[in-house]
Amino acid sequence: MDERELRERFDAIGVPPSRVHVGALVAEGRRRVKRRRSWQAAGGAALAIGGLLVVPSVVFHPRPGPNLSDGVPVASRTASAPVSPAGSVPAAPCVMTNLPLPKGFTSVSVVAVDPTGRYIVGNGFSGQNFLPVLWTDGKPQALPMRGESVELSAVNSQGVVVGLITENNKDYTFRYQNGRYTKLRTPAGSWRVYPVPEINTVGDIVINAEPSGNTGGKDSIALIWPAGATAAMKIALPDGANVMAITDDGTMIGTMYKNGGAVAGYAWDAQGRTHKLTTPSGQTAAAYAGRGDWATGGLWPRESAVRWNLRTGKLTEFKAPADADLAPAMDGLGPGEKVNAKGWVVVSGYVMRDDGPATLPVPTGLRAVAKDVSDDGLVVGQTVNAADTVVPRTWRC
Amino acid sequence: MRTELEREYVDYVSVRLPHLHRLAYLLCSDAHQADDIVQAALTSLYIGWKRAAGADNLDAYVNRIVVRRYLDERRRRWAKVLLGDAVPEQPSNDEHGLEARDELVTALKALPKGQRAVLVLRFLGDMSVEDTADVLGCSVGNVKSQSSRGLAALRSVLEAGRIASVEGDSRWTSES
Repeated sequence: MDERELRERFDAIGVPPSRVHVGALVAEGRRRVKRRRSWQAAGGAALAIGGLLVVPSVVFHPRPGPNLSDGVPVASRTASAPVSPAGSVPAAPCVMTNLPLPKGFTSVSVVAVDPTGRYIVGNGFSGQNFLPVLWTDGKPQALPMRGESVELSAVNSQGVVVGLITENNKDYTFRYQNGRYTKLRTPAGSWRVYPVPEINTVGDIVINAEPSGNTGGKDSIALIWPAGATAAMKIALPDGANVMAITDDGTMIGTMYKNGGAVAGYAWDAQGRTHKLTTPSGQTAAAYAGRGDWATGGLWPRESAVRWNLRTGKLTEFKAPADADLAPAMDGLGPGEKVNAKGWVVVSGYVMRDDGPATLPVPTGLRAVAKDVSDDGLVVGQTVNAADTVVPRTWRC
Repeated sequence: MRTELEREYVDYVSVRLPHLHRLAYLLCSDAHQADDIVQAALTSLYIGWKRAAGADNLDAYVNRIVVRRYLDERRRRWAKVLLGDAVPEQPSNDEHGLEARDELVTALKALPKGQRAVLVLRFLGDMSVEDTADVLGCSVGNVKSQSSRGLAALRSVLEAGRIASVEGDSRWTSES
């Protein structure tokens, strides 16, 4: 056996599956950074990497009314989740409800809600792998497994679920509908899709892909699977454009990257027009999610969450709540992750409204972490205790 | 730009994770220990990402962190054994059912640790003789001799394994 052969053999060895997942690494890294920060007190050593792992999972809903969902009946709601009239900003605090776990699950991390609040998706864990969970009207269901891991990222108001299946260490975008998985093909060649797929109300699905082996979005392309399609279409966008969301009118929300860094947020509309989202001078921006008239994302170096009005172009910056538990060395909340049709922005576990953060009541000793919000104000997320035990919850706001 | 840094980290780690896991696994021959090594190494990479991302050869830098972690782990385990907490160095991994199928893994496990580490670092980690020596804390000459002895030993173990597998259970007949 010569050295070249040995090299090849090493590369071909079948090793047991790894339980290490990049999301867990980031979570642990942040915890460690936070601990360091508290140890170092006001030392101010700038070795921290703060911020958010932004995995935008926007869901969409037709505008302006609730009755345009392609003939699909408007969903009935859970008894525990009374609906507040759309458009109103309730003065009362939000009401927490427990989201039950499917049988056999000990922990599920909530990811997204559809715009009507009927469907919620989340992921359980088995070692490093994700186990898909769908709640319909508050009732949990463990979806069937495919491959090693099934990670859900979004669901639309028709109950169409999207996410990533991992098979032999390769991620595939999928659509799950009527109890069936459909693998969504990428163009010819070897591509790695990232970060996670998003879907709008009609069922158009978007994601980005980079040539396998590249990192940081190098030579990336943006892909769309129009509703029902299994073959991807490459979206004609300039180099460096990453699509993070698609709204119901086909507008794509995303960010231009240059040399691996975000430069500005963009909206590319269905007519092929490009709209650069307002970026204050001296700042760069990234847009991560959009719905209706709104897009959300963040500014750097200010590290603040922002919301753009896609119609007027108006930029709104959200200040961190006074008691915010900011990531180490962070001045702001970090970028907005989700936005609903009323412009409520989910960022760093908070729901930011024009009148300030929504109050999400929790039992003593727990912390509320919002992940997404429906158009009528159903906040989905979880509570976390000091031991990092996660319990899925909703808050009706 | 911290969120961008984190995105870079996530992108980098997502792609390199299988390789690093393989590296750790072949170093220690234990699935759980490999996970622990990778987890610890990549957590520390997270904390130092801003610096690390600027490294001339990031892959080599990260390989090195994994190896250091492996060596730390060995030291820690050794300490545990000394304290009477019997942690087997090479617990059986039959439940994974994977390595039994790969005679190379079996052969590697049969090698003395020094030789195994040198071979894995040089031929999976793509590290130079000098770098291997540096990270293992031994001389270049030592790496060279361990390397040639390791290769020779591997060869003989593989030959023997081949004969055994042909004579034994036909399901394990090697491909080549």
